[in-house]
Amino acid sequence: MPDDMASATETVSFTLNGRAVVAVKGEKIIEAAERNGVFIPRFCYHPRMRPVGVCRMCLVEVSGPRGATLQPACYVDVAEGMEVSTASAKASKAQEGILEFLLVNHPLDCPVCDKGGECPLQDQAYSYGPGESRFVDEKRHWAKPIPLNEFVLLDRERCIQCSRCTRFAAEVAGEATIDFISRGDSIEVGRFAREMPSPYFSGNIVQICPVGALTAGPFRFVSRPWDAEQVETTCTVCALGCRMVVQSQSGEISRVLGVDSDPVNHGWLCDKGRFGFDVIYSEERIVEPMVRKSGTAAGGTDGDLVASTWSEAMSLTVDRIAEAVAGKGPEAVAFIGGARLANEDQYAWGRLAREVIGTTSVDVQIGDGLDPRLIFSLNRATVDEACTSKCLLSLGGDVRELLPVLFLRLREAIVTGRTKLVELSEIPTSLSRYAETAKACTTEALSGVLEEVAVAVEAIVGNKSGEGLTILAGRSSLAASPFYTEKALAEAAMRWPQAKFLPLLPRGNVMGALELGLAPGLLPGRRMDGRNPGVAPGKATGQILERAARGEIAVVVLLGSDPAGDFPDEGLAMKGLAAAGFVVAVDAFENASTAFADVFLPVALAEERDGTVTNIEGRVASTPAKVVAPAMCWPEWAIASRLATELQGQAWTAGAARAAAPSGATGAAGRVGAPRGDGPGSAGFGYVSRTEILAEIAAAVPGWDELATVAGRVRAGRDGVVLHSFGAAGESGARPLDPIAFPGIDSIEKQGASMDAGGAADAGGAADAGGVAGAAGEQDTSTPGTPSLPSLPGEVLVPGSPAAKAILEAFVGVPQPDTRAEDRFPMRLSSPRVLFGAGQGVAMSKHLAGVGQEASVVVNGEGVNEAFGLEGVEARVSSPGGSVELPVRIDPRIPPGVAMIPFNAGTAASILIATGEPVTYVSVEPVSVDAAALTDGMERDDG
Amino acid sequence: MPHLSSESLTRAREIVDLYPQRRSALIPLCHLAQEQDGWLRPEAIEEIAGLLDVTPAEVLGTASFYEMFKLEPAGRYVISVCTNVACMLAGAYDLLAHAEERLGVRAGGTTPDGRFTIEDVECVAHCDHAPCVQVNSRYFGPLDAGGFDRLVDSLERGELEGDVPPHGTLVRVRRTKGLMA
Repeated sequence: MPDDMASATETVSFTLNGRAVVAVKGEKIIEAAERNGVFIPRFCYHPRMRPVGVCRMCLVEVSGPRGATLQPACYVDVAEGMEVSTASAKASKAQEGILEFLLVNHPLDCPVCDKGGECPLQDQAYSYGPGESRFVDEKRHWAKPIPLNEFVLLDRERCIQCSRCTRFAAEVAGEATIDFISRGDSIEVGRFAREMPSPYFSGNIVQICPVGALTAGPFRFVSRPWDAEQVETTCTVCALGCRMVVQSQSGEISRVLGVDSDPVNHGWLCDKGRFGFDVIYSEERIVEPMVRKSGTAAGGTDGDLVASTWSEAMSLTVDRIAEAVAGKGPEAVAFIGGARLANEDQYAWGRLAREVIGTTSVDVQIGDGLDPRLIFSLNRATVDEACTSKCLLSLGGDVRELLPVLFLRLREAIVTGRTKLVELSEIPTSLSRYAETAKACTTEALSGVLEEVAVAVEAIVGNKSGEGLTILAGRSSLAASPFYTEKALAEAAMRWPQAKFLPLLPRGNVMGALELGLAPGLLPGRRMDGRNPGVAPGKATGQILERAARGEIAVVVLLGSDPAGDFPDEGLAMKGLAAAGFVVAVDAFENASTAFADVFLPVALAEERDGTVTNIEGRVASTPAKVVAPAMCWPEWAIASRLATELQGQAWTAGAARAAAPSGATGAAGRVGAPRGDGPGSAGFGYVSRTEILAEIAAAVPGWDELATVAGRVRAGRDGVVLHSFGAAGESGARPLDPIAFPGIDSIEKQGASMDAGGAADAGGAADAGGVAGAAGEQDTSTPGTPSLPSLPGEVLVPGSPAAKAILEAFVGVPQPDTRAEDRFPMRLSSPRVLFGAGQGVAMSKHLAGVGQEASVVVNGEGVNEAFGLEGVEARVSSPGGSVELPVRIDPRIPPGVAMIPFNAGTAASILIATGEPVTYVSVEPVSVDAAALTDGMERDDG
Repeated sequence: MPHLSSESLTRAREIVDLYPQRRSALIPLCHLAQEQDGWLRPEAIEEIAGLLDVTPAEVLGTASFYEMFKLEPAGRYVISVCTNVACMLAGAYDLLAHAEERLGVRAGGTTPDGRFTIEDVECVAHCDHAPCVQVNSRYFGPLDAGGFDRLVDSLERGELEGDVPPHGTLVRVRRTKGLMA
């Protein structure tokens, strides 16, 4: 679809309702008319799907060599000299006729239909319909509603057979799990009884249904569109940052709808993003500060977390941080996590950590990502660039599980022939079936296999420089150390200097955190941290936990992270957290790690806070708040700011004076006594709102500067702006939303949702933390494969710069440790992340109940114990690190010799994985029947 | 465990190979499965979907379009009574009523012993022998009540085995040249 008339090569002139207009050659009449301000009624047409012309609602009168005829406007290209009448007597009569027929079998149950009030059939029946029906017979009846899957309900009586849902399933999602069943007036949308539409993209068919035939269980009878207030925002469930609106009624979120952002999500959302919003209403959410009350406050479970006040929780935290710094130095305070935070929160916590406390032990990634300095040394691709590159080379990671809507974008690009996929993956992914070449390849073999496929890749792109190549930088499995992937990425970047990379980091705002320096070795703006030359991996989460386990860390701050449940090495995480002197959880839910927390600081969640987030492309987009957080839940920046205020009153920190200075705040005014109001009013950095923080980021952080300008903010309206490529090509004006494609949300256009970078950039050159002399980091090379990186303090990592080249060379030079299976552990563990795991985002959502994956071990049928012929047999999976019992599933697509355990479906995988081992090998043995029987017997005896 | 027998599966692969697009073999494979089972079992639908790289829903969608594919168990003999205009004028409704009485099931139903299914159909292009019926797509007519009873008696006694194969079998002779589909 042409977005930009100027860029189109050929135009045609035609007459629209007597007016001479210009259209792009190849455009459909319905599109050309819409851009010229004429709305043609339609049902089956959707701007993101191929036209089919089945509903006949868009019939218009078109002149041709044989006189004026009725033609479907969604299916006919405009042609030079064409005369189109959309409202002539003939066209109107046709439209009336179609509507009368569509309403023949449509129940008039609008008063109890969820679609009522935003229903294209209702609206267009009023505008274009005959007003009355001549049909007097009984309408057809079906059982209603019937569930299609966990989310979607089908009411076949209301269906008008437009085929939008079946086409979405086949054409967009790539799995035709629904189709038209039967024929004629008994036709119905249906599914095969044994196969449900998978819970990845099914919510989209509800949104695009032009009638009330498909409704969402979570929205059933919840709200009326005229009662809803809405705000356009950005999804933070994964790091793609799909554009969406959040609607609320009476201050409570009622639903989420996708918005068509041309460079990002094309209007689609995944079911996790669409339906998982109810976590904020979970009864298990922590809505007041808590403090562990016990004699010995040392991290442990020898006491309960009990409700407290912010002042108590804060002063305890401040005291313990102060003690830690005074006793062991600033590196004794560590920060883990922060991907859930908005950019402004991350910046504020980064300043707290680096300036006020002075620690370099900060990591947003929990052992499941890639080295940020490598990421910033690679040419970054946007999603659009990936979709238009000649060749996509995937080094692992299942896009549909990590960044679901990116799967839709890439799949579309591949099946339409715009790009070709070469995939190297430990186990088949959802994209494998579309791949030109899909090679099973263990992560440790990536470098070698890359050599093998290089010729094929170069043949596809037609050059040796990598121009037209986009590399998907993800990890197949968290059971293999990241440095194999990192080395392969660096080698690919050296081999193909023109190639671009799209990092498949799944966590919400992880890229914002990396850009803003919540990362080992990096300061805001991709600047290398000079204080710990060469070591920064030493401060990555794994090393933080190791140091904690050795008793070197006195305070661990968990920024919405759960290392005990989420770090690949569960044993290490538990040891580290248990040995840490004091654990502060900044979170909304209790989890395995908060069991170690001494203080729990409750926070506002995504829909409750304003802010901006950054996606995998580096695209900064706004996330305005829709609802109000519970009274005691603070936004994260306010917590950081308050902690800064209180810490600046402490005498110990050398950073105190310096840190207070740039913002011009009265930070050194001493400890803020516990105000009775217990609100986030006081501000250590002088911030009173996010607006100021964003202004400071824009002013102080390289690459973010355009966010300070009005032009930058205007451009950032819907599609956001991509960091470090401001003003680059690929910008398009705001696309008008098709009101029928995106029902109920067309008014957003008027409401606007600008990125409120606003206001005076009076914060000046704050946060120039690069010059702060901190503690010298110690060299920590206990983990094999750690690259010895050059010391480049203050260098900004721009791809192609000498600093970036030095980084790439360092990663290429990493010696690879030898790995091979021992006799005792003959199988290789592969542990990919899945979308619906056991994390809080799924577990705390009532809507998502039932789609969370149960842990199991999946093996190829070949060469495994015969006992596994029966599905569901329990197996004992053992590694040098631990042992778990899981049900076995047989899947012939898994390569022989590989045992697959989803990483985040429980902690089974992280119990087995030891991060000290480059690759985890396991044994899979059936749990002895005798032993099981014996156990059963004993249980019965006991009972 | 594959549901299709090894002969069916071999034949299925041969059929798939006849087409440039795998999914083009969908209807022939439905016939093949129906020939094996007398109706399209869900297991067969799943297996066909796997053979053709389509989803079971697509197989079901296509099969359900056609009356000739039975998605529920059908009798060994499916008797289709034409009630279209030529046969209707010649007494098709009387014939249908008699058929329902004789077999003890309503149109669309199958006798408890699984031998007969009776259905009313639109024109089957045998108007010169109105009122007519088809048994497993083989023509019989014109029939009155007595003729219908004699037909059913013959089928029950197995006298028509040579003429009327069990339901699902289109032909018992396989082409050896020309279009092999």
